[in-house]
Formats: sequence, C-alpha cells, structure tokens
Amino acid sequence: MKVELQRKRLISFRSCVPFLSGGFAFVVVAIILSLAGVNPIMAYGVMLKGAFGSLHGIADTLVKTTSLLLLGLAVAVAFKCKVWNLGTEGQLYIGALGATLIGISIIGSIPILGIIAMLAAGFVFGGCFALIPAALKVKFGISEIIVTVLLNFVVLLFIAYLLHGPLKDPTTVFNPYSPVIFSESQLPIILPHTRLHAGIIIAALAIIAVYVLLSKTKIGFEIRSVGANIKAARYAGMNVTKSIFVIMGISGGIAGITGAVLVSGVQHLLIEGISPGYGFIAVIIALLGRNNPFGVAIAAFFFAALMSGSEVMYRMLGIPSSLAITLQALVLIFVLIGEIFARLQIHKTENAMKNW
Amino acid sequence: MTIKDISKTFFAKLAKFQKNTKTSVRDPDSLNVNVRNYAKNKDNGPIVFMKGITCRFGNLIANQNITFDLKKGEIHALLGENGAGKTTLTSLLYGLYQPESGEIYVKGQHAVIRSPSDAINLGIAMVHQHFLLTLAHSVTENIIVGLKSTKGIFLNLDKAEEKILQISKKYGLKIDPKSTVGNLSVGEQQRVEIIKGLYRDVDILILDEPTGMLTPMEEKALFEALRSMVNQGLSIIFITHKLREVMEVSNRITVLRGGNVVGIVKTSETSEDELARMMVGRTVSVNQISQGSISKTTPPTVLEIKNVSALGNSNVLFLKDIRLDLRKGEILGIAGVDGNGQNELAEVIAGLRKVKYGEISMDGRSIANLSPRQIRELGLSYVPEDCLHTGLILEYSIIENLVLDRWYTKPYSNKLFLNKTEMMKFADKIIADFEIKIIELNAPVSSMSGGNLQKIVLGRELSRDSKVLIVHNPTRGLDIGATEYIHKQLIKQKENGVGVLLLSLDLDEILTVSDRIGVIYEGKIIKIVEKQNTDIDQIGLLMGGKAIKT
Amino acid sequence: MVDLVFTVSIIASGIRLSTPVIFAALGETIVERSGVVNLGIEGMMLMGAFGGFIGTFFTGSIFVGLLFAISGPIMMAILMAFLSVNLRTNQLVAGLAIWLLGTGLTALLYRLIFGVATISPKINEISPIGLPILSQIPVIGSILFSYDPIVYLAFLLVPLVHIFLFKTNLGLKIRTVGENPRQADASGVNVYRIRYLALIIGGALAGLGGSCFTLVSTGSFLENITAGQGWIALAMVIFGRWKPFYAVIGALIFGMVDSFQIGLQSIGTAIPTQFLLMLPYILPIIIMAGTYKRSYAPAALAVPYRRGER
Repeated sequence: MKVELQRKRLISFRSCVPFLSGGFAFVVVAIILSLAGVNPIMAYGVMLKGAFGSLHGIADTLVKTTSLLLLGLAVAVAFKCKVWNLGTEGQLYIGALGATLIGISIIGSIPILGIIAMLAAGFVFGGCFALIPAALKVKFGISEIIVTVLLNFVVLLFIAYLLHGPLKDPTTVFNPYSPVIFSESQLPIILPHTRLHAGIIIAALAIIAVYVLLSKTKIGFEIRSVGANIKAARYAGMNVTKSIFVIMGISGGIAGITGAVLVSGVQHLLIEGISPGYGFIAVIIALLGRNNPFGVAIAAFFFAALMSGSEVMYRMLGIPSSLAITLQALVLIFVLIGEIFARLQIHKTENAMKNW
Repeated sequence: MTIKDISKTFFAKLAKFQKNTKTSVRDPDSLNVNVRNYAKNKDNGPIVFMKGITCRFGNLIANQNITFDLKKGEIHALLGENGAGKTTLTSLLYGLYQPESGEIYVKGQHAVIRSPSDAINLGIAMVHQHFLLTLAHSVTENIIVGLKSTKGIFLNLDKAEEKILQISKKYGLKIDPKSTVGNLSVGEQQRVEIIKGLYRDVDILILDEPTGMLTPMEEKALFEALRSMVNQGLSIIFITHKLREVMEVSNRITVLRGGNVVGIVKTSETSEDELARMMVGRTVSVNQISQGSISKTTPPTVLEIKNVSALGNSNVLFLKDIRLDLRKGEILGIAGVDGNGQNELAEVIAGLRKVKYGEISMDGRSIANLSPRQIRELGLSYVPEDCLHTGLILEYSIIENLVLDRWYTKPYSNKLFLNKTEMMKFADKIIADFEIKIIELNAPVSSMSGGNLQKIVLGRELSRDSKVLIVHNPTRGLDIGATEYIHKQLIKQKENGVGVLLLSLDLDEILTVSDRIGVIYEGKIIKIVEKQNTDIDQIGLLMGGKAIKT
Repeated sequence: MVDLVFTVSIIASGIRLSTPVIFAALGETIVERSGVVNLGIEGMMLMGAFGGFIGTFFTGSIFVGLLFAISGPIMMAILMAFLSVNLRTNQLVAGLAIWLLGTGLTALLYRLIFGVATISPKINEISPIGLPILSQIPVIGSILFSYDPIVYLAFLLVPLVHIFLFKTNLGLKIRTVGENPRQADASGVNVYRIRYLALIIGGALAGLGGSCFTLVSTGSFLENITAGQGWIALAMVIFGRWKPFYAVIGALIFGMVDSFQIGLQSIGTAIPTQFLLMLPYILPIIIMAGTYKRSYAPAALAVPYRRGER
C-alpha cells in the first residue's frame, strides 16, 4: 500500500520534471534581460499577455501551435524509427510549393476538393522530397542528420529562385510572391475576426492518425521495432529499408502538410519566409514531447505561446523575438539536465522501495 | 577416456559424496581466522591480502566478507561458477569498483585502490576476459597508451618497441610490436594484453578466464609463459571455472560460490572431485546424454550448404567454401574457437549475410540470398548468439517479443491492424509451455532475468514448427539447471524431426548433445565426424587447425 | 592576362572561403576522435563570430576579439561536455540543443546590444599580410600569396593537428578514448577529462572558424552569418575519414566551389544565382555519398561512457 503510494508519487514527480527544470530557462533569460537593462518581470508579463491576453493573442498562439504540432509530429514520427529528420523546414517549403501549385491551378477553384488536393499535394511533395535523404542513408549509409540540414538550405534557395522567377506573381514588380491561391482552397476561419483557421483540426486529426499508425498498425509495429533495435528487427525478418523509406515519407509528408496548411490557412500565397524556422523548433518539441504524439501537442502549445508572446514583446518593448528560440533551446537543455537528475532520484527511490 | 566417461565418473562420485557428507562446506569465518594466522606466521607475508571484502550491485551481493591472499611467486587460482564473484573480487583489487567494506593490503601496505591506474602504480595488472584493446591501433600504441612514465609530449615508438621485444623474449611471449592488433589472432591479442601489464613493470598479474577463447595449443603456450613468469618472481591470480586448468597450472586454489569463499586449498593436496564439490555445492542431476541413435537408413537432408563463401565484417572473404549437410532429426554440433566464422555461418543461412559464392538449400529449395523473412517462412528457426540484443527488443513487452517473427501473419493481424487479443493468447500459451516467469505481461522484458529472456527467444523459435533450427551458444552464462533445460529442448526438437545445427564454444556441450560434430576453423568446416568416432583430443586439435589422420 | 588574374583570384578567394570550414573541421576531427559527435558546431561558430565581433567592436583590438571569439564557444563546449560526458545524454540531442542555443543567443544578444539599427555596425577587418618573396611575384603574387593572418593560422594548424593526434602521447590517449574508452580507462587514462579536453579544443577551433566571418570577410555581424558551414564542416570530417589532411582537402574543395560560383555570378551567366548558391550545400552531400565508409569512424563514436558499467 505504502509502496504503491510511493510509486504514484514517483510517477507524478517524473511528469513534473520537464516543467520544473524548464522554469530555470526563464530564470537564465531573465538574468540576461536584466543585464541588458530590461525589466524581466515586465517582459514576461507582456509575453504572457500577448500569448493569452486577448482573443487575437490566443488565436495567434493556436495558429502557431498548428504548425509546430504538425512539424513536431513529423520529427517525432521519424525518431520512432531512429531516423533524424532535421529537414522538416525544407520539406515544409516543398509541401507549401506543391500546395501553392494546386491552389493557383484550376483545381484550387473547386470548393472543398481544392483544400483536400492542396493537403494531398503537400503530403506527396514533402514526402517524396524526404525520400532523398532516406535513399542516401539506405544506399550509401551516410547520416541523414547532415544531409537533411544541408538540404534545407538548398530548398530555401530553390524557393527563392521560383519566387523571383517562374512562380512570381505577374501583377507585382518587386515582391517575390507567388500569385494568391483561389479563395475556394483557403482554409476557413473557425473563430470569427481572428486568424484561427481550420488547420488546428487537421493537426488534431494528425495526432490521432500518428498514434494509430504507430501503435495499432502492422507497419507501425515494424517501424517501432526497427527503431528500438535494428539488429533484432532484421533478425526477426523485418524490412529495415522499407521501414526507413516509409517513415521518412510519412515524416516528410506531415511536414509538407504543414506547408500546405500555412499556404492555405495563413498566407494564401507562397513567400520566402513562410516558416520562421519552425523546423528547428520542431526538433526541440519532438524531444521534449518524448516522441509521444500527445507530449508533442503539449510542447507545441507551450512553444507557440512563447513565440506569439515574444512577437508582441518585440512590438511593444523592442525586445528581439529571437528571445523565443533562446528560451526554447535553454528549456531543452535544462530539461535534459533535469531528467538525468530525476532519473537518479527515481533510481534511488526505486531501490529503496525494493529493499523496503 | 572420453569426456562422457569423465562426466559420468564425476557425477557418480559427486552423488556419492553428497550423500555422505552434507556438512563438508567449511565455515567461512573459521576460514578467515586461518588466513589471518597464516598471514601473521609466515615470514614472507602475502603480496596481496584482501580482508572481509563485501561488494554489492543493487540488490545483488557479488562478494560477501571475502578474504583472499596471494603469495609472491605463486599462481593462485580463483575457481567458481559463473556469478560466483571471481571477477568482481579481482575487479575490486584492480580498482574498477569499490568494495562496500573490507580492506586490501598490497605488499604489506594498506591500499585504497580507486582506479586501474592506482592498481598499476601498486604493481597490479589485469587481463580481462574480453580484451581491452583498440583494434585499429598498433601493438605498441595499445601497450603504451596512458603510461605514466612517458615523459615529454611526443610518442617515442622506437624505444617502446625495443622494450616490448625485450619482454617478449624474456617470458616467451612472441609478438610483432608493429602489427595492427585487429589483424592478430586471439592468442596473440592475449599476449599483447599480458605484455601491456608487464611493460608497466607490474609484479602481480590477474588473468580473467584466459583460456576461454584459446586453442589447446595456444593454451599450452600460455601456461608455459605463466610458469616462466612466476619463476622470475611474478605472482599471478588465475580466474577460471575449468577444473582441468586449475590442476594443471596453479599452486593454490581459492574456491568461490555465490559470493562466498568455500575453501582455500593447495593444488597438490586436492583433486578435481573435491574442487567440483566445493564449486557446485548442490545436487546436480546426471545429464541425460543422448545416445546418438543411429538408424540403418540415412535420414533425408534438410539443409545443404554447397561451397558457400561469404564476406566478413571487414569486407574480406571470411567464410570459405563451406560444405555441410544437416539431416532430419539430428543434432550437428559445430565446434570451434570463438571468431572462426560461427556467427557468419549462422547469418549466411538465416539470410542476414549475403552469400558471395555457392548454394544453400533447405528441404530441396534454394534459399541463398533470400530475405530473412522468406527463409524463416520456408522453415528456419534461429536462436542467435547475442540473444539479449539480437533475439529480443528489450523495451518491448513479452507479448510483442513473442510475435516478433509472426506479427504480420494471421491471426496476429489483418491486412492493416494488429490483433492484440490473439497475440496475448499466444503469449499465454508460450509462457505456460516454457515455464517463463513473468511479473507483468505488459512490462518491458528488460526487467527479466537472463534465463527467462533466453526462454522467450527459445519459446518463440521452437514454436515455429520449422525444419531447421540453428542455435548459437544457447547456454552461455546460464547455470547448470537452465543449461540442462535447454539441452532437453534441443533433444526434443531433434526427436520431432527437426535438423538442429548447434554452434557452440563449449566443447563439453557439443560432445554431450550432438550426433555428429563438425569443426570450424578460419571460416572453413575442416571436418565432420560421427560422435562415436571421435574424442575431445581430436576435436581439440582440429579446433586449432591441426588436421590429423584418423 | 585577365583570365589568369581571374583564375588566380578565384583560387585565392577559395582559400579564404575555406578557412572557417578548415578550423571547424579540424576541431571536429579532434572531438570525434575522442568519441563525441558535436552537432552543436554551427552554434559554436555563430558564437565565435559574435564574440569576435563584439570583442573587437568594443575594444578596437583584434586580439581581444579573438579571445572573445574562442571563449564563448569554449563555454558552450563545457556545457556540451557536461551534458554528453557527465550526464550521458544522447550526444546528438545535446549537440542540437547547443546549436539552437547558439542560434538564439547570438541573435538575441546582438539585438539587445545594438538594437534594431538599419545600418549594421562595422569593425575594421584584419588586413592581409603578404608572404615574403612569394607575394612579390608580378601580377599573381599579390593575389595568391597575400592573406589575413588568420588564414595562415588555419593552414598552419593542419599539420599541427595531425602531429597532435598521431605523434603525441595526448593524441594517442584521445584516439584510444574514441576507439575503446574501456581500455583507455583501464590503462589509467581519464576518459571524462580527455573528452572534455577534446570538446574544449574543438569549441575553440569552431570559435576561430566563426570569427573569420566577422573579423575577416565582412566586418559586421548578421543573424545566422555562418549559413550552415558548421554542418558542412561535419560533412567534411566524414569525407576526410577522421583525418585532418583529408578533411582539409574537403574544406578546400568546398571553398573553391563557393568561390567559383561567386566568380560566375560576378561575370554574369544564364544560370540563376540561386542554383549557383546551392552548389556549396549540394557538394558535401555528393562527396559524402561517394566516399563514405563506416569502418573509418572511431569505434566508440557517439557512445557515452560510464565507468564500472556491468
């Protein structure tokens, strides 16, 4: 009875760790801010108010949550197979490109179908692009980590080329924008007078889909097995190559859908800065969410609030919004440290419980 | 005398002894007193004296109040079964772990040994069971790394090589200092390990199961070198579980069991029987030894390997021209020193390694270079060497591990989804059939004991209803009871008509259960003989690559 | 004559452009030889670029700038070592955290210090020094043999790092720790200390590499000024099979390609600029695919070490 109680307390302690240790990140940034002559309490206050203080703020946070959640899922899914997809940023752009092509074509003028076709195009474009690092990994054995990062740069340049050239809106002279997509293929706003669009529903569906895929389906079992122990998976007759291709396709596909959602729901056209580095934050989110779809959702919401809050902070106090990424990286570092200490503590307690 | 005879007499004597004297196990406390007196009275006190040593790993007590002494110029054997605490005790002396309580005296001085470098400073070196060598580096680099005595910034390889050659000559440990360690044989690598200690001018050498991977010839050379070392004033602690070796090489013996000292004896005043009794200390049922029933007609071949060659891990041809046929309902044992191609052979059959040349057929169908799944579906079961890491996914539950090979088939899944209920049903059956002890069905298997984990793999592979079963070192690290259980299972498979290919480093195991015995040496099967036409000496010679005429 | 000058200046600028990658790749070679993968190298380079810039900006001394350039990355290296060596977190995760920290922190600090000015502050770059005699060669001499001192330092370091790794006692310790930490430990080498040391050296070199961007080429700092060259350096270590000389060959190829595409841009060509700019990023992928073999990697790469593990 007592042991059971202790175990429960242990579990709740464990789930608190990320939050407690994440708090240290805020302390560190507060010190930096006060050294720079900014009152950190005021700064954080503005941030909090910006993220949650108004309907607009909340909507903006949720819009950002949508992107971060989808991308976080993309990274987490690949992690499940021990594949490091650091190229979600690039895959997002390729997916956005695919979606834009559909959105400005005749298909984009068909209601509902236009949106579905855009999402599908985002998935296919992003997924296929992600097969490049998968193929290099399988065929030549080179690490997907470096390849996916480098390909991000290539994609950004490619998109820049398109927007300055073939895909440039013919009606503008200076702006490197694509034409606006048909209004039929724009995601509907679900909260009137805000920017909150139906993408958040897509993100919710994606959580469920990823959960079912990984824990209920055959291919999910194979993928998890390859991720958990590649030697044992091979030995048991599983197809490692197939798993890597499938998971990279899905991961890139989800990243591509993120791009499609950004085009269809937020920008309604393709621009160079459609993602303010979401792909990199997604890696932190996946790690913090322990690659669990629901954990990813929580982390995504938290980081989205940080981002929208820091944007308001920038507008009001002139504090650079790169504060957000600093905070996020620090949260990751402190959570890493916190988890180790928690593990040690838990280890001790568990041993004590065994002896008891 | 064959090993069978030896084991028969051994077990007979053992049974007799246990009937007569149940109280023969000496009281450890009285032992301590003896040792203490001994240490006081002799004018040349022990060079190493460990007193009241206790060491724990979590809940496991590895050493309990152990007292041990080593005299100058002797070979002192530490004898005991797996898990008796031999390696732990010496690791404490070598500074790898810290004892919970107890004291260590080296050369009459109280010593606190916090790290291997402390041990080396005290003149103690240890040669581990698994060598601690960098395969990519040269012999000299391996020997001089971390040396305290090297002055200056730059490496001085020439001077070091000179000293290595001197040592090599002095004790008869032949080695080329310039060669890359990865290219050396196991015996040579061991010499590098020993020289590593001697180079640091140690006078106490700990050898942990040094003969495990040697051929009989290399073993002989090692023993000679050891004798030459003690003659020149060195002292040696020799860890082993092999009675024959103890009798052959040691001066004194300390026997450990379950973390306790059960006896200290002079080799000249003891016998293998007495040692075995102390070491095991409990009833051991006599092994059911299969009689290798020979039917008049040769049964059909289920696995035929014709002239197969394959690459090793370093991309050079490692398996060369393997020829082998496995018959229905037999156990074919493959003996050999570790690293002579056993793993590669198993992998080639299982489809985990490409066949470069040659042909493999199972039950008449060619299986060379099919995928592992196709080969399994055609009727292969395979219990791999590194069961824990190759045969299982430790973070998975027992259910998931049991269906690791069949999750995609009916009834465990339909076209898209897994069927957890059916998986559970199957798991319940295997758990009952193989008497697997589980705590919780859905917990990761990593919390289970080694023997139970082995049973999971065994349960999965033996329930496959296959034609060929490959087992690789199935009993390594298991206690006698578990070993016996596995042998029974193998024999049951054979009786059911499965062709069993047993790859094992344990010669006794091979001689106990196989019908025919093959020997693998440097990637070749150099001979296959019927069991009744051979003996341990012949197999031993073959394992060392010496083909003799019979 | 014009062609000759053009070719020579492409080569000279290629050498200049490869300098940051050479520094970073040399550092990473040492780090990976000790069995640690430092994915945070990009963040450390950014920190180096930033540190070099503010150090020089506020004191006017290039020397202080260089000191600042290496001290930030060294602190990050210590953090990386604490995470990956002491706490044994996944090295890849720890490296990514360091990378993102460098990205965020440099951007934040730069804006906090200099505000959102439209004209970016500038420092005086290091001026080139001609090699004696060689730089006197007519026409090409002054182009091909006249660099900033930091470029010479990079090339001087190549043989030094080689000698350090393969000819010194400390180098042997580092290599053994990367191949077989258990052996190293058993031989009395402090694995933790060696990995700390390797990471600190790697951090300092990454910092020097980063400082090239602000102290040599532009004289000003921009967010993400390193533009992925830390990742390129990582690719070059793999291409170079964990050997300093080979890694530098990779870095030089990178520099030449980069300089070539800049040259092409300047003379004008039908190929869109963006495609030329892609070349330096595609090149490492291609050469890795062509040459990679796992067997060259240190055996204990990315494996945390724990003493007395059973």
